[in-house]
Amino acid sequence: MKNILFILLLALLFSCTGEKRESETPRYVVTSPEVGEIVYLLQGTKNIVGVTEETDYPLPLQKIAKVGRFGAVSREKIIALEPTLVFTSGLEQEFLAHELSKAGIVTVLIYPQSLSALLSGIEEVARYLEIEERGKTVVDSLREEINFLRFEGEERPRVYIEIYGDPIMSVSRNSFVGELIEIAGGENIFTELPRDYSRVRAEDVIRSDPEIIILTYPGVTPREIKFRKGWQYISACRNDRIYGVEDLDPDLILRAGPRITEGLRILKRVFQGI
Amino acid sequence: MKKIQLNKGIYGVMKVILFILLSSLIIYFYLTYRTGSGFIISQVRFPRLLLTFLCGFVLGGVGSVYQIMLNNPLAEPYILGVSSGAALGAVGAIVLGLYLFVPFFAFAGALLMILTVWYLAQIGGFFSSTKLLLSGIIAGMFCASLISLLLYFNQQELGSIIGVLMGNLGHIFSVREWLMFRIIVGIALLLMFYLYTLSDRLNILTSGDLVASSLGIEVKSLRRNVFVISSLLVGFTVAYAGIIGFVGLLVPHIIRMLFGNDQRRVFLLSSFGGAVFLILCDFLAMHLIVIEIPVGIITAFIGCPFFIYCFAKNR
Repeated sequence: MKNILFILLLALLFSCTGEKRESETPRYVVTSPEVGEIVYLLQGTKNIVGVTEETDYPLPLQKIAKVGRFGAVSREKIIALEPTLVFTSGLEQEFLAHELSKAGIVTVLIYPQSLSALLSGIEEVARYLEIEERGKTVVDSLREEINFLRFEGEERPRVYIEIYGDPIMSVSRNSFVGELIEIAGGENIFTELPRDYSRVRAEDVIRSDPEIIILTYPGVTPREIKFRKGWQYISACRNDRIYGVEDLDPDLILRAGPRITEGLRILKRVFQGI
Repeated sequence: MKKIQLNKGIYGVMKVILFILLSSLIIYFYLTYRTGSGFIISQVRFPRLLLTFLCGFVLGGVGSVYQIMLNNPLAEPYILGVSSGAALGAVGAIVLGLYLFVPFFAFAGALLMILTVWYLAQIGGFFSSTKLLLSGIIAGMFCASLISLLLYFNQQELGSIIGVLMGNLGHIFSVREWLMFRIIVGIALLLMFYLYTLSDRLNILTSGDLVASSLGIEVKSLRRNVFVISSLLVGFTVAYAGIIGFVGLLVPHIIRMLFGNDQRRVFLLSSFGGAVFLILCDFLAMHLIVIEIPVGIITAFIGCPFFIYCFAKNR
């Protein structure tokens, strides 16, 4: 008899915990830094209860509770935050989104791989945040700014962008970064690559003789590039037109977020040699 | 000591000529495939060829020596843990963001590992090949666990770490590094020659430690020399190219199947065979599909069927 009472009591206990937050304010968890920037632009830090370690911009987002790192998000921490909506990114996070939705949490996957996808992604986020009007205004002004920055001239410098050093990796024309280079007025030396972000051969870089080299990863200086064997005769190395992370914050062009207009502006300056 | 002639008659000479022709052909294609520019050949392809040659040469030769020294057909250059130590050093440097110092860290890791394994093998007062083998495997496993830990927490460096663990011969040399690398190649060739001079003694060692010591060979110091010299050599290769499996294990076996058991011949042929085999594999790794494949995958992929072919033919 005692046992049955105990079980009943337990059952009562569990039935209580479930629907505590039925009609309360929404709670958002954002697991990628770029989507964090989008959400912040649309509505500030309001209702955001969790972000990942990489979310470092803008400053107010840094103070929010962390749920792990981009590639190692803690499922438990997310569930403990009792979110009403989780914004995830693609790549490793596709699986995370799948797992969370199995746990009954609503997830939205935002992984823009082109400029137009970024704009529609912002609209989608706005729709989920139920501020569609605000979303439209933001997207329209971004689109306008991009069109204003679009390079219309004829002479495009050959550009090699190195996103990883060992092995060396670059981007194709179809990638997000490739598109930015194109718009800012550069000519990516790797038009066709098997993947958007792919390993490349040093000899192909030397053969294409880029006029500008952009490095988007830490731990490397333009000087080191110049002293690579066989690279010293590349135009960019001879003319000192190698730009590292000090010259161009890589987050501005690698993150598909609202700051890409800033990135475009710097790229344009770099390409035109101003 | 029994004197074995290198080439048994015209058949042997033919085999050697065929081997030289085939290797020249592979090297020619390696250097000139899809490029006519002398600049690219001398500045990019040749350094890579030299690195590939060194790795294959060392791995094949050291593999053949280890199999006799440890009296174990499964022995390979990486079995005594030195490669794991070197890989740990390399991964550590990558994680710390010191990309330029990867070879130095790797070599330091290899040296530390040599000392550790040697010390472990001495515990208990006596020394045997079994203890050396066990110490090497244990220390290697420990390093491997640390590598996995670093890998787990630094997934953004996955590309470099895969290069260390699966082999990457596409090391980009800086001008100064290239100078040092050529010195290393010189040292490595001298050390390899020293290993070659041990071949006679290793031949006797195959009859067992007792026979060897009754013939006046100091088995312990022979093992120590082989271990230290080989480890240094393996350290060089891992420092620049990561861990490339298969070459050191199966090339010596294939050579023994085709050319008999005399260690002097096996050592020479394993070294050169390993080098040419690795050059061929790296050529395929570069050009087989558009993206370069880690060379460690190719070595086993084309090596295993060839091994089975030799195995079946030898029956």
